[in-house]
Amino acid sequence: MEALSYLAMGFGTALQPFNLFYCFLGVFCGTLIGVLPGIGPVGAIALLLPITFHVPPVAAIIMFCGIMYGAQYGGSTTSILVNIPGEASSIITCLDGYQMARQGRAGPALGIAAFGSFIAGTASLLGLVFLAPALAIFSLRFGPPEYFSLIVFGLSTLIYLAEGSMVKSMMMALLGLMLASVGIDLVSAYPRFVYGILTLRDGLGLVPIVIGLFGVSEILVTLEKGIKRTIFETEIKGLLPTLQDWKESIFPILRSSIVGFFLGIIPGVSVAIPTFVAYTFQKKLSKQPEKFGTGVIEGVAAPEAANNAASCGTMVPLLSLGVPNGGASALVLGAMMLYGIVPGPLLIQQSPEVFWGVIGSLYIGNAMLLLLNLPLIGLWVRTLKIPYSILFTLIILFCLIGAYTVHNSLNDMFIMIIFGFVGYLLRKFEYPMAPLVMGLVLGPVMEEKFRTAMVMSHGSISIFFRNPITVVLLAVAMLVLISPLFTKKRLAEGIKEVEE
Amino acid sequence: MKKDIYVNLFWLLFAIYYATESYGFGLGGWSGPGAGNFPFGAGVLFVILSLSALLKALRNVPSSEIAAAAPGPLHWQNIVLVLGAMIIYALLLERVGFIFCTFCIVLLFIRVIAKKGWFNAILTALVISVAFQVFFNILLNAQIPNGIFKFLLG
Repeated sequence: MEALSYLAMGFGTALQPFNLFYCFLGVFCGTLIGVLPGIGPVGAIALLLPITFHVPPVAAIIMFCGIMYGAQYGGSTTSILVNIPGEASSIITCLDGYQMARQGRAGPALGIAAFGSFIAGTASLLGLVFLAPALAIFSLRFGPPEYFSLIVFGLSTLIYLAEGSMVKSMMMALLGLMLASVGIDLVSAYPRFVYGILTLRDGLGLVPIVIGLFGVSEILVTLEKGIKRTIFETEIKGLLPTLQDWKESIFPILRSSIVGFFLGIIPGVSVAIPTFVAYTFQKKLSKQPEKFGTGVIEGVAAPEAANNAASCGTMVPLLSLGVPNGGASALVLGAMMLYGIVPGPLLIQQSPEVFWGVIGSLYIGNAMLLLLNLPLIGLWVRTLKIPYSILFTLIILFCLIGAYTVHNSLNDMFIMIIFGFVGYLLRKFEYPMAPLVMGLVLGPVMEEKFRTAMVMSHGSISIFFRNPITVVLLAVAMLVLISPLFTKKRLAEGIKEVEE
Repeated sequence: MKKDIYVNLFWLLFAIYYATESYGFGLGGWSGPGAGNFPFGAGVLFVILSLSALLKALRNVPSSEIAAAAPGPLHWQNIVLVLGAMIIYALLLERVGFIFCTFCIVLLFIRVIAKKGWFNAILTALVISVAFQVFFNILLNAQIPNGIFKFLLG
């Protein structure tokens, strides 16, 4: 029961007032950005990164994780109340959640979403405690070729599951890798794509690019359509689900927790996918599948439990392998690297306080969300009434200042503005952004592992085919990428059908 | 669609340029990949992808033209305004100062994009710029230059 004593230590770290404060700040900001349209968790983490440079790394990472799962809570609130999913992971919640709200059952829908998320968080924490260390020990055997293959696998899964054209997502992942190459090559000290510009020697900078791509571009797309907002009128009363509600939703919650957690572990599977799977699974199991979409409570409980369990599951590969699942966790990985923490098998041994502290904070953060959010729902609803003119002005200002304060440099601000425009164009032409961020964060790691592997093998590409781990990972990655040639239909499209 | 052709043509040219540049960095040997090796690989893959997308776009020009319905009037002038304002903000920030630049950009957005009255716009701009000054430069000590108000704000 070594894990449990470590977990106790983690709780000790997470409960320190300072860390507790940052955990609160994270879940609070997370819920807020989940509720507000116009900025998602990726943009929010990027904006807060520079501000947290003087905060101890553990506290900062705890806060970023808080934003990640706090956004799930916030996203479900707007899905249920106004039929606007704050995040991709709460699209499915709209189906039954909004119908429940229209029938005057907004309270129980919000309540079961919060309780379901909490139960799922608790269940998947147990999974995390036992699985992450085991995976870390296993991955101690990972050398550069294994890591390279794992990253290829993660990127391929993300590309396969991304919405829209697969060629487009592949292009975006490559664009991320290509942009990551800008700057001085760490091995040969050769300046790449620098053109004599001093700022470019250190690379383009993750934070300005992400702020531009996720903050500014979203505003531009919205402003282009002209300012208009849905006004919320429903009244909420009685947040506590009845006994009958509980009876109907407890098993869906538990089942979806398991589905969500295990899907969340797979590198490249973003938090949105498990919600679709859990909903469909629940619908298949139900005695009255035709009622799904008309406002059944299981239809809210299942996806909400799944998205929370999945964001917990995401932490397994992130912490024990250093491989993120999507945009937000890629950015948390980037943040860890900026702080000099290298996630991966050695993290548990070298910085147990970070590893277990973050895990402990996940649980405390979930409890905080439950305690805070039910009473605060009125407040979140009120934030929906903030005029968009104020909202977009504030977001633009935060973007400008966020980019500037990374190095107190105007160059970062210009890079951010340029990528804001690039992001706007990419959105207009329907290129997905998550693969780009993944490529950008993982590019340098991927390149380093590839080059080291090639040096290790004295130039023989066969090093990637000597070990069953690399063979399996690369083979699955290949299969995933070429599968549309044979099946014609991807999972993403199937999901879209479910949605309709 | 026609725009698909242009977009993919752009990507193709970009990728060709990128790959050629990377080639110039030196590919190195297999046992010691050089600085250009990895970007060159990514660039070549990108060339292949954009070329295939371009060919596909060229092949089905008419079919998808109908599918794209107009989503209503587009306020492109808002885009120009926001981007322009951000560039001017960046150009003037260190010279004129944080609080004044913030005041101007908020005033512009509220007055022109949100089309609120002068009084409303000035009041909002004043509140936001002072609040940002307090939050970033006093509470967080972010040291964003105060420019012409240096004598007053330090």
